Amino acid sequence: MTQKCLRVNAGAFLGRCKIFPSFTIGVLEDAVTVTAVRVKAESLQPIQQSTPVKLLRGADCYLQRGLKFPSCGIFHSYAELLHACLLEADPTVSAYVPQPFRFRIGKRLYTPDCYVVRAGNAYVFELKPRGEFDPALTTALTEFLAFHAMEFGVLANEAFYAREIEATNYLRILQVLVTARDIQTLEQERELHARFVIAETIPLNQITEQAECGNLSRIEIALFRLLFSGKLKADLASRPLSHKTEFFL
Amino acid sequence: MSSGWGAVLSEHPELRDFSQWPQVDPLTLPEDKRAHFLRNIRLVSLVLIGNTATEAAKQVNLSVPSATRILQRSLCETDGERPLTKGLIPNQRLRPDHRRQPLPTLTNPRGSRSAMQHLLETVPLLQQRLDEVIASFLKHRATGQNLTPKSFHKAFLRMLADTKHPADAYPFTERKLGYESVRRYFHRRCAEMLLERPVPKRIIRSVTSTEQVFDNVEIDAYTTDIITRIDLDFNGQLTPLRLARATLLLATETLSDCHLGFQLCLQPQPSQDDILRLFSRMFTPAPLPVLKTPGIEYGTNAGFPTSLPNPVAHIGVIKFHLDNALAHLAHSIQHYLCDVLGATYNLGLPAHPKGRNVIEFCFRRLCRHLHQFPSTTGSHSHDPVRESRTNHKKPPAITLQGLEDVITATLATHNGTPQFRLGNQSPLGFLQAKYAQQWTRHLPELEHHQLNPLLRRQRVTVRWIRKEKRTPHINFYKVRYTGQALRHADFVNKQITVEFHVDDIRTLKCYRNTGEFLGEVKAPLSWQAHAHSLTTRKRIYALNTTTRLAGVDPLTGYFSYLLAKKESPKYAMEIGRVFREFVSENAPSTEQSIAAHPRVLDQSTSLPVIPDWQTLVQTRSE
Repeated sequence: MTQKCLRVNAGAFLGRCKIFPSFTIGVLEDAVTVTAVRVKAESLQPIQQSTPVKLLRGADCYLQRGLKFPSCGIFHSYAELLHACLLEADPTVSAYVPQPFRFRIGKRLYTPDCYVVRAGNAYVFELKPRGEFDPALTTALTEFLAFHAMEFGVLANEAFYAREIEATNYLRILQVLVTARDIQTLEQERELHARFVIAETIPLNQITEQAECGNLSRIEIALFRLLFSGKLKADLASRPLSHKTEFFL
Repeated sequence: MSSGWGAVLSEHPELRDFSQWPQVDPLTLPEDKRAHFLRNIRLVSLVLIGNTATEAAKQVNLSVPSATRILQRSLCETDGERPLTKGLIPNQRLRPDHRRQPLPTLTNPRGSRSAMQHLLETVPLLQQRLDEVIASFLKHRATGQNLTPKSFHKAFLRMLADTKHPADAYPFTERKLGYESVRRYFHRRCAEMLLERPVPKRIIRSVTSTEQVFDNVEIDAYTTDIITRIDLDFNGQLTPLRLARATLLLATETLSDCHLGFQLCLQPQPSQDDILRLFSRMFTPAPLPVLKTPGIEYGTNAGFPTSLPNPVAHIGVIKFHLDNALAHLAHSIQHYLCDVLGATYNLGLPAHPKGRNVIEFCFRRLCRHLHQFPSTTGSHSHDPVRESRTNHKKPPAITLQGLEDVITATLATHNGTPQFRLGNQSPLGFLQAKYAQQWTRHLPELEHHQLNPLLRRQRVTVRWIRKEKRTPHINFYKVRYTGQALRHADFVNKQITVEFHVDDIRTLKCYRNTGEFLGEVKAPLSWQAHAHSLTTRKRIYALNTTTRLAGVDPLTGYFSYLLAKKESPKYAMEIGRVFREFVSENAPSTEQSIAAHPRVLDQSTSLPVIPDWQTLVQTRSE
């Protein structure tokens, strides 16, 4: 039985060219042969890759500006949009980038769906129906990204469809905050937070009723900013956001 | 070698329970087979409860060999499968038919049963080549042909000839050369190939239905089927022109089915500016337009959300659904929807009109009214709504203004008509009721240039060519703009921001990079005659590369050029678009300036003068 050991070409490549090292996995045995999968990346700086016009017109693309991704994100499916909305509302996520890298795997180009920074750790996700993804690619990408201190994972679209109501609520709130990105509400946030320290839960209509006429939108913006930063909570998983939605600490 | 039925029953005692056997409904069998089938069932039931084959045969009035044969056929395996109840059906084929005899020839005629199957199995590569031809057809490959059973049969015969199949053997012994067998094979393989791969179900849109208004707004374009005319009125002379078909842009809120606004585009394809005009109409409060065509009226409670007594301002729509037309990919639209309105922008799948079924149904509803007029659906030359040949030579009866009035009245009346599915509320009423109950996103206070989609800002550089001894200027779409605002040494060769309205670019407002307003700059006098849009300016310059426009100014020259080609509906449409720009609200008295240039008017194509009516009728004898 012949066997070739795991081979890493990092040192040989780094000196000659500016591309990141390729990673080759090859194990040869008499009984079983696993095809070698080589992964290359031009850059591992997460920047949203341009979507070709053909894909933009051919896939069911959604464009939405974000806060944690401060640009217009292009999402290639509805599931990716829902995922992005949940990331925006997750206080442990500090940043995310859709379509962050472009890898060359063998002869084909591959772009993962999302790069996420959560609690100081970097993750790269691929969203697929039923979480089905080529196992050989999964292995290759896991190994390659692990070498660069990133975790690779495949997420099922169905997991986000199940949380669609919650994600859609967060989308509404995200859109409020996107249009209010130039409005300062520090004072209103402090006042609101102080109110919640006294009262356990306050419904939305009670918060907005007590606001002055010209200050209504600022109170709302401040409330949603506290929600997204994790200082306040609300049950948005079962019903659409309404005047009766209760917020609590 | 198959074991006997007795051994099978010994090895598989569970088969003794006849209720566990697959059920066959006797009513599905032909009547002549039904009696024997029921007899066979009775025979098997008697054997299964413990009777011997002889006793059971006697009870059902069968010979013992026949009974044994039936039991053997039902209980013993055939090609790895135990027929059970299926084996009890008289004359039921349990194994696929297989030809044992050689194929018939002209000198040795035989039956041709299963001959086709024999050919497919024995002739090398025949089945693969036939399947390849069918696959090319079904997958619409460039090398595929449009197959019919006849053409497929010819291909079959050609392939046989290629394999040097004897010319005196089947299928050449048959009158139809095996056409029926080939036809059945063709249809069977087409069905099998189409159903081979299951199409994975893909979730495209939301899995839950929305309960809130302004969650989804669908926008689409539709080329109206009506041919219209415009009448150019210069110095009291009326010139009718047949127009090309206009395009209607429509925006509808999906939950309430309420039309938010529309825009009639006088261009073959809507541009990004047309779509921005639609957005402007959707969000700008304005009273219901006055209908100018006699006979067209609004229905009860007709209106648009922007024409309500207390129109709701600055509503934030959650998602806009458009199709993937090229104009929709423009940065200006993406910027307005995503950056200014903060909404989600969805382009949808190509060739998937059902993805925006609400708006498509709106067009269908509109067509019911529009097809009352002579028009065309573009389907075929015998289209029943098509205008006749005689009428085609004359200008159409309905004017562009009339078409606009019809569309306005139809859409506004629909908004005010109660619908059963909305709880007998009209779309407008439903929208207002839902809006009062639900939480709706609103836009914060935005500056006017941000909220108006037709106002754009652009960075330009101030130039000053000293040796020309002119004032500093800016180049804006190939024209030099000058004004007091630029007369400052600080601005020379520096960038400033200019703001302009896409429908009237005669004047620009200048701002410092810090946002301070500097003043206005104007285009040269030759461009000041009429209000014109960016589109018109670009078209004039594009035309200038090939044609020299004659006129006192470029705009009049362009208009004269269009008038010279007014017989063409395409150019007539452009005349209508440009004329509307010229006589917009911002323009000075345009009619006077146009009338001052006799080339604009074409006397020869005015309407013929109708002679005085004569009561005497001339007869042939006279």
